[in-house]
Amino acid sequence: MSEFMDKEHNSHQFSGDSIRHFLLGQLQPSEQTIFEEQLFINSDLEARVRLAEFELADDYAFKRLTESETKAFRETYLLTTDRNQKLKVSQAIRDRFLSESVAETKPTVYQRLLPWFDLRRPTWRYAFAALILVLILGTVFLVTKETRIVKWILPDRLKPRPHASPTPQMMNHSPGSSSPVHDEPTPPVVLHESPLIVSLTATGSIDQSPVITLPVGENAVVRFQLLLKDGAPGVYRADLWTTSDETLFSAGSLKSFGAQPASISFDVPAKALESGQYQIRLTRTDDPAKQESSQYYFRVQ
Amino acid sequence: MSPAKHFKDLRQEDFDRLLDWLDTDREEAGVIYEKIRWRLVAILAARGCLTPEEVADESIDRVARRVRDIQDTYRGDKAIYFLGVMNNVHHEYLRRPSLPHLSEPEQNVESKEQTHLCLDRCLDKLAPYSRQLIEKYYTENKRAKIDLRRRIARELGIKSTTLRLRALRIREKLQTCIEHCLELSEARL
Repeated sequence: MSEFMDKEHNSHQFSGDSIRHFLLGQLQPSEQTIFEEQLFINSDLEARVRLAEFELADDYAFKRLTESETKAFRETYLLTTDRNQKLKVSQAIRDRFLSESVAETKPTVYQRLLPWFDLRRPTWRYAFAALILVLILGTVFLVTKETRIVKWILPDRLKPRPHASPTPQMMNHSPGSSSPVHDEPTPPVVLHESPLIVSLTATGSIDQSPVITLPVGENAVVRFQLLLKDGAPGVYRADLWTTSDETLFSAGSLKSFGAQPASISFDVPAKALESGQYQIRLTRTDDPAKQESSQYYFRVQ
Repeated sequence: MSPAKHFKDLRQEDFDRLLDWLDTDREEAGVIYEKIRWRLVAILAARGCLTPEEVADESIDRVARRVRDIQDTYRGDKAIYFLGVMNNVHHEYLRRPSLPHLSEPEQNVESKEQTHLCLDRCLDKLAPYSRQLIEKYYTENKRAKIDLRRRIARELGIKSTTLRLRALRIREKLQTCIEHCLELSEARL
């Protein structure tokens, strides 16, 4: 009885299931009597039963009834002309809407995926636009920030040929760069003047020595080229002496160059020299057994 | 179905007296009459009566013939009187030899097509909101009914129970419209 009557309202308010059971002839005899009486005096119940008739016909047409309900529906519900008419309409509705429903609810996998690959979709347009934008930004980033990657990507034949830049600043900082420009004081450029080359051979006296005229200039140098007496290559040390046995200049680790005869070369600042007679003693340092020195003489005018 | 169809053996004056007894307003009396008949048929069908409409009509005939005798003395709900008479008629029916239950013959193709045609016409006559509601209500049949109703109700911003009532009332309108449409098409033939 609890299912039969809605006790919450404490009246003869019947549940939807009770109405359904009544229409299918499934109420208990005691329930049936009460229901019949209420149906005659309760217009609200009558309205609900009328609507439930439609719902039951729909459920039958849409095959939503259980097996026992279907049997009861055929044996009890369909006894009236009016209800048969209702069922015909329910079946027409089913035919009309169920075909749409099947078409809508049972698409094939291909049909479900097809819309995703429709390039006319705005989503695809936005995606392509975004992709192009990302590519452009990525390229700009690579070119400006990651030159190593660019070098790695670009083949050698496409790389720009090395060329002398105007100044170190231009080399390391682009003209348009907003980064601060280094303004370090550069050391004064040393201007090397062409040295005076003096070629000497080993002699025993100063009388046969050449006379040289010193070059003029703050940084003027005299380059001595000493022809080796025995012509043997090796490492030498050269000492420049005055006639009063004072050492003016020394140069070590001098390697011989050339062949037949080999020679040694070293520079002496011109300002270290004055007018007078000079001696250069050349001593081999890489072979203790051959430490015999040779003397070279010259005179400054 | 007009009331006159049910009263082949009933005299017109008895029938008029019945309507007057139900209500002095003839139109209102007709409505009451239809309601009583529908209730009788529903009850008889629920009892498993194989000819509920016939038994109901026979019950109404008897009441109509007795109205002259009871109309001055009867007190109470007049509809209940019909129920009492129907119980007697039904008892008599149960004593008769049972007839085999004839199931409704299959709808022929033409009738089916005509019903579909009428359905389309009646759907077109619905207000846009009602049309949308009824289409949603019936289209997604494959899903669980309760879930479906909840979802549609949420979409339409109404309660599930309200949705059911609205859909069934639209369904009721469709039924009336289609039956009228079918009657018209039959009349043309």
